Parts: sequence; structure tokens; C-alpha cells
Amino acid sequence: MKGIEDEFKRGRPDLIHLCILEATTIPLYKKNEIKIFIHTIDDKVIYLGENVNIPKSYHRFEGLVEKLFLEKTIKSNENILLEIKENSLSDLLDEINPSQVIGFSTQGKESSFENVASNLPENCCLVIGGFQKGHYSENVLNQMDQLVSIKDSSLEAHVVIGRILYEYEKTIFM
Amino acid sequence: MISLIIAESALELVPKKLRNHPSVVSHAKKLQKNHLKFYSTILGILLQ
Repeated sequence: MKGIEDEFKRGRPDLIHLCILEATTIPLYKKNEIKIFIHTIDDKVIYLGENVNIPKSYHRFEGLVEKLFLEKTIKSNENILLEIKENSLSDLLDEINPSQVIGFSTQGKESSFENVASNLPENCCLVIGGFQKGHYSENVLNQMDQLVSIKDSSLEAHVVIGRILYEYEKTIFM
Repeated sequence: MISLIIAESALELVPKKLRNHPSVVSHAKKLQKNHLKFYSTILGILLQ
């Protein structure tokens, strides 16, 4: 990857596979209490439909993403499961119009999963970096209303997703 | 209802600069894919 822009943030699509699995295999998603979007480093957005079962096998996931990039949508019985559009993060946020945008980063204000989850306003948007190293770009940082840090050391994206969504589930289901 | 955005994810086409790299070409051959057209989740495997 040496010599290409943002080399440390690229070349690990397997991390996104883990993140999507973490987010789509929980009751919150099964009960349609969360919408999931994947913003890519070259400003495309993948929209996940409702009750999508992402392949557990990475190789099958890879095939699915290749098909998505080629055909732009993945359908099943006329339902759109996955769709990719040329959208920046700013376009996406304009579209979903959240009440608040909360990003997770080691550079944010210290908090805990419990604290963040218990104070999430209705229709808010959580942003988690889908890259292995480094920080958000300025363009992404500028979209956030709040930046929180859960630990002084960095956690993997799928861990943050799993834990924050579990804490949020506890506030609405239990 | 809340939304979750996984931002700046590394799902992308093989960058033009790397499309003719010998490891990309040989890996594409192995998978019987056209290295000039195929899409790049493969990039991750190559460069880990």
C-alpha cells in the first residue's frame, strides 16, 4: 500500500465484514430499531436494507460486495438488500437528518459505553471509523456534533459497535 | 430508531496504481478474475 493516499486506512475490508456482522446479528437490527450505512473511503455509501443476512464466510462476503459494486443493488424478491450510491458522508447525513451525530474516537471527550448509550437522543446517528489505524479525515470530523472516547487506548471498530449497541439495547428492551 | 454509519471504510476498487502490480495480477489469475475490472475486497487479502 506504500505510496497511495491514506495507506494505513485501506486494504482491510475484512474489518468491515466483522463490523457488519456485529451490527446485523443483534435484536436491535432484527427488530428494525437501527439503520446501518457503510460510508467508503472513496465517498460511496452502501445502504443495508431490513433483515439482511450478511454471509458469515468472508469469501462469500467478498463475492457479495463485488457483485454490489458491479450491479449497484442486490435484491431478493424485489426487496433491496444492499444498494450502493455515490454519496459523501455529508450527503448521507443530509438524507437521514439525524438529531445528533456522535463519533467515536480516541481523540474525543472521555465517556463510557453506558453513559453514551443512556443519553442517546431519538433519531441520533453514531459514527464509527471503519479503518485499522489513524483518525477520521477533516471532512468527516466536521460532520460530528460530538466526539467521544471510550478508552484512552483504541478499540477495534467491531468491539465498539458490539458494546455500544448492546448498551443501547439494554436501554430500550430491558 | 438510531442510525449507525461505519465511516471511511476500506471497501473500494483496486486503486489504478496497484492494478498491474504482480501480486494483484497473479492473485486475480488464481481466482480467475480480470485484474483490470475486478473489485477490490481482494486488495485486503493481498496486502495483509
